[in-house]
Amino acid sequence: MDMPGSDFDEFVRDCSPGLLRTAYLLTGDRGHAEDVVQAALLRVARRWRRIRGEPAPYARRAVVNLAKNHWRDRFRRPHESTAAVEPVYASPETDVLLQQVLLPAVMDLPVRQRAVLVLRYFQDLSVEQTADALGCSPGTVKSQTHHALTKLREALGDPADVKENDHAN
Amino acid sequence: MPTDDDLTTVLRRGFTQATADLDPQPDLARVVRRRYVRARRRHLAVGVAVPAAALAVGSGLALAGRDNPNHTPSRTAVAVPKTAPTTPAPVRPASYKVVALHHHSAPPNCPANATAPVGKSANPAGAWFWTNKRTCVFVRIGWADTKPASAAPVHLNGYPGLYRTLKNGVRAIYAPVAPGTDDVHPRGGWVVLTVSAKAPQDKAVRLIIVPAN
Repeated sequence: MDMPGSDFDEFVRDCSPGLLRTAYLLTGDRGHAEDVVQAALLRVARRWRRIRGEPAPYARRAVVNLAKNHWRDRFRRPHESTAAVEPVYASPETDVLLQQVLLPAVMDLPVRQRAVLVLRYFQDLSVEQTADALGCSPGTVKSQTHHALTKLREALGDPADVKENDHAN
Repeated sequence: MPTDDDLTTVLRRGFTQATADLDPQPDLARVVRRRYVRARRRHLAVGVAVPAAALAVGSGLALAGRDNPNHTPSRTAVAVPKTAPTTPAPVRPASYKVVALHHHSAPPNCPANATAPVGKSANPAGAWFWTNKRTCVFVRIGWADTKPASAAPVHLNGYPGLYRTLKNGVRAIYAPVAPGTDDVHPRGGWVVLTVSAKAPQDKAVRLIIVPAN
């Protein structure tokens, strides 16, 4: 277990924004996303010598696995009571459709379907790369994508709303 | 029904918008390295402790069987050297205070015509600020004599000793206040910043509290 060199720092600098954003979309929480990314990078550091040639897929796979674990653990923990303070969080440029309909619908998807959407449409991975990151077959990725998009389509309802909102911005 | 192309276009835009404000902490590589070193120390400590424990068990078995004439001890007891306990160097505890903010708005939310990047409200006690993406964030500023036992440390460069908790998407950040540094709370305690988990918490901390020592 030798300490990774400066190339590791460079890798963290280049890849951590994408990993953090992916983790956030998978966990739905900034704090947990930061924890997931740190834990994933720690795994990368431990195996740095072996994966030096291609560390990004390994890091991505670690983030997805840790985020899936987080999501599963969420339902095992006792439910916490609602805090009395509800901070105001409003954006002048908030896209109501995206913030209030689409993203909550994505978060309601089963974790595997959500991971498929995030990897394919946020990370822009191919079906094969997504399958590699999730440890499943390309056929499974395609079927999960189909099921996820069907559920989102139902959540969005009238397509005219999508178009109208798109033009409004 | 929208086509898959329409849907994925909206989805890509949604993902990009939702994560636009997210940036990792600047010293992330250093934090990972520190955790890596700690993990390696633990790994080495276990590597020493497990054989030592095995030897101790072996010697115990040897002693237990010493009255049996047929018993042949497989191992001999080995004295495990004890390491002297180390005393950590005295560290001055971190302490913080809330910055003096000017009233820019009476209501607790961000005024649409605000020109200042940050302002405060009296009721509820708190401050608002604009993010780089023109998103307004309100941070409630409170006080606690103690921090929750479940609070986890926050690694923020230049701000040691912070802790955080998370409940239902609401982040509470605890900044220590040393005894004698706050007139209202002479016995010290914790400044509590309460903010949405989606908000850039590092920016909230840097805008609202400053080290007091």
